[in-house]
Amino acid sequence: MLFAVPFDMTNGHCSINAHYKTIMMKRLIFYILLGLTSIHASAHTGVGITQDYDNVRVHSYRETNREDYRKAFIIGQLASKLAKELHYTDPIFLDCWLGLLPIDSVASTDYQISVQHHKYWNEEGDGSEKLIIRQQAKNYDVIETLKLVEYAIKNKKSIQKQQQLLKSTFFYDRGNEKLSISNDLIQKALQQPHGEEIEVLLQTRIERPLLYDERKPNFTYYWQNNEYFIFRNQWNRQENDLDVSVLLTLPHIHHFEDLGLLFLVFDTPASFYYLNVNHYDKETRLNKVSARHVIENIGKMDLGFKAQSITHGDVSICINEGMLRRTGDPMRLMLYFYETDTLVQDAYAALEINAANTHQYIL
Amino acid sequence: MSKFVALKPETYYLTLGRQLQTHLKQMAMKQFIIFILFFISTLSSAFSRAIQTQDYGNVRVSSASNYDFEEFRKAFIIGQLAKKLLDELQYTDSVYLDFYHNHYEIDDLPPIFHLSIQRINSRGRNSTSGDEKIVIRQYAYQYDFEGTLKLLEYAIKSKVQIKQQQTVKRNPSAHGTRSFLSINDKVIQDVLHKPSSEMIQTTMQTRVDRPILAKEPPRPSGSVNYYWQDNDYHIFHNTRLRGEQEKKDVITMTLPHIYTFHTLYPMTVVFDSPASFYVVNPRRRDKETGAYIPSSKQTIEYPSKIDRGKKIEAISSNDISIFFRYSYGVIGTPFPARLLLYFSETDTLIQDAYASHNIKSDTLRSSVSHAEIREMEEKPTIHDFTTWKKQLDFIVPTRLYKRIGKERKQQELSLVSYAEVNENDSLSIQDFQGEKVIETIAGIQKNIPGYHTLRIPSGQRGEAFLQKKVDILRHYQGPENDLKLLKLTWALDDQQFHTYAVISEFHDSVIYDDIISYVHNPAINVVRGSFRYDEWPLFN
Repeated sequence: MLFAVPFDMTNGHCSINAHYKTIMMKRLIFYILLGLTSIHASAHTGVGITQDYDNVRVHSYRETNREDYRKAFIIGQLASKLAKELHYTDPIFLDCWLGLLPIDSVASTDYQISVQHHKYWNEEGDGSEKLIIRQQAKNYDVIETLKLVEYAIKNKKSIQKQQQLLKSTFFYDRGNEKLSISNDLIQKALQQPHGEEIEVLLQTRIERPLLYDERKPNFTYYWQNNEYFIFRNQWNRQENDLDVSVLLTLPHIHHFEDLGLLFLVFDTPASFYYLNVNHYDKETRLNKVSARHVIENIGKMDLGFKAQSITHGDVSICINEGMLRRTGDPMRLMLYFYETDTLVQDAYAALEINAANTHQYIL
Repeated sequence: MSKFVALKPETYYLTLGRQLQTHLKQMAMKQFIIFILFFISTLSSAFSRAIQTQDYGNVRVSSASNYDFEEFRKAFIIGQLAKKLLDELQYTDSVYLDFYHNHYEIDDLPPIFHLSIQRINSRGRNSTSGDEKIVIRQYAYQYDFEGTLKLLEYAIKSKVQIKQQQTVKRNPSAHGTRSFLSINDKVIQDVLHKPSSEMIQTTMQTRVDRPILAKEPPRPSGSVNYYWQDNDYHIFHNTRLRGEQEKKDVITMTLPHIYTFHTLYPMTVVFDSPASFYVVNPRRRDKETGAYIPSSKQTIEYPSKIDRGKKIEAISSNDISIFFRYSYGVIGTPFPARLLLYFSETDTLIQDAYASHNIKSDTLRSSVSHAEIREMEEKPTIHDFTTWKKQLDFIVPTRLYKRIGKERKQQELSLVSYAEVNENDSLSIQDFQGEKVIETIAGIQKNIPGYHTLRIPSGQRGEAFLQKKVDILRHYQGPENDLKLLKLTWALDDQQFHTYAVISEFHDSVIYDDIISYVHNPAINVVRGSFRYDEWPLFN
């Protein structure tokens, strides 16, 4: 099941209703403003989506279109399997917020763990008691999240006793208080080695989750043991059949751009591989993977980009494009020519286009 | 130069028969196979035309086009004007306007009109049920708005006369023969050349906004759009100018023609011809009023002579890419490509992005210049199949393949001559009428050498196919004695044999043949279309 949530509803604690109503109102206004600024943005759309995996519900929120947004649903599937292994059948809510942080920052993930009555938007009454793990991260960590799920399942009663309203460090909480056990306890749990159940779970292959209105893409990947295996999604492949010819293996996927017949797979904010459905080795029939192309002088913030298929194979990439771009911020246009596997780092400079908002990257 | 072969899209198969066979003989087998694959893909795209109908009261408009040009949408503007005229004339019966866009810019091919009063079904084909309608069909590169209204006005006033005069009118076109029930071209031209009535002149003053197609989302208010009025296109956006109280439609520019119209957020690209365009970027405004200022007119140098659509994309909020391929190149490889980039902040058009970035690849850039490629592109030849003689004269030699063991033997089938049967012949036209026809056909087919190499449908499909042909012969209701039987002499390599064809003198068309129906050759497929059996219902 899949639900789009217009705004977060994770704060429903019966005893502090009035306080939360104010927070909710502030948050509603914040989201309305955020929504208004992102109506037409392709690269920057503040979007929150939920997906259910048995007793696990995942809410994933993003600003820019990064693959970690989808990784939350991979974690959700693993968490569901872990709960099953641990015979835990009560609801678990994974509330995942993807932070917008400088590219070079090494920010650790913020976690909150609580057991509380929480009302899902499609739930009747005041909402049942749920085990809630919230996180705000630059990149989601599968093992850490699973460790916390395991810890929370095994320590539910002590969490209930130890949790208290604490000032949240999440950007999106804007300094409001949230119910959670202390960060010290969370860090202690994270420092423990993970159990055998998690070790086994990491070997599970999970295919890139599809969102509500998405069609089967021409290329996709499966996640396994913290690696990503990219393969051609043949039209006749059976669902969940992951015995496929892997074209590329990556330790991380920052962004997976689907341009129909063409795909850009960013392994970092500043490097990508290119795949084309019609570009394949005639003998092996396997699709070719381009060289790894590095974008020079990417800048400090990853505010997203606009990629566009401009011919039957060539691609344009416009960095710093979108609603989060401030007026006057320089844009940068790159061109990728697939037949010669060439990346033009700055088309404005190469073509001597000197406009106010362009050509400010001196390479 | 010799490895280049001019390939004309849809209609290049018209001349494939003789022209291409010479080339093919010189080609390696592998290349030939690649070409065939390409050819199939060309045909499939050529025939994947879009058809849409829209109703405006008692006016139904059907618009068809092979590619996404603005003319497809203009048919619906004409439909709205027609409705306006009908209201003025207080005409309440049904009208059917059928448009088919010819995307080839051919100087000596004016719009082809067909005008009839007939019963038609929802797909615009002849029908025996339903109300009689005024049917106006138009095939053109640029639709004639005023001409359509003139014909409509004439039809309303001359229904009885049209019904008496109408017969099947065949016109050669770039997409095969256009055969529909109609009054003749002389009457149509007379109507078109008369000055417009006052009512039509008033109708032409009507403002009609760019029609929205089915499944198209409504346009956001304030977006750039156009309306048509008195043969001009006014590009506008609804806004409140600085210093003014009310919102209004502010005209950015007026053009005599719109070729294509591309809404690319946040820009709008308007082509007024296949090779020239304007860009409206909301960031480019008049400082005092805030009205949008269009770019200068940008011209694409050496565009393709045969435009099959361009891929136009916004690559940033200020910049645009334009991509197309020429209809000329090396067989078996993609044709030469052009990538242009437009930068709106500096109003600059880069004519060849591949050259600018020194991207060299056979499939993108050839050693031949764009000017030379354009020179070598050939527009389709319009083949006239409007008489049975012209139809048969176009039957080109074709290859048949015969399998002997593991070997595949090739034979050439060619039409040597044809003549009307004389008294000494064993068959007469009576043998093709009444009950004898099936027996007659079976007898002829038995004597065709290499009959099994023809791809004759078998089983129920084959029977149905034959039955259709037989039904046409049995139920033919042309003028008395207008059917003639022809004896066709064929050669399969050196072996000669005969088949028969029935022609209608009144309709001047082949209405039955023994063999041509089963020969699959691109050129023959086209000529067969001119006497296709689908035309049959139009005779009745």
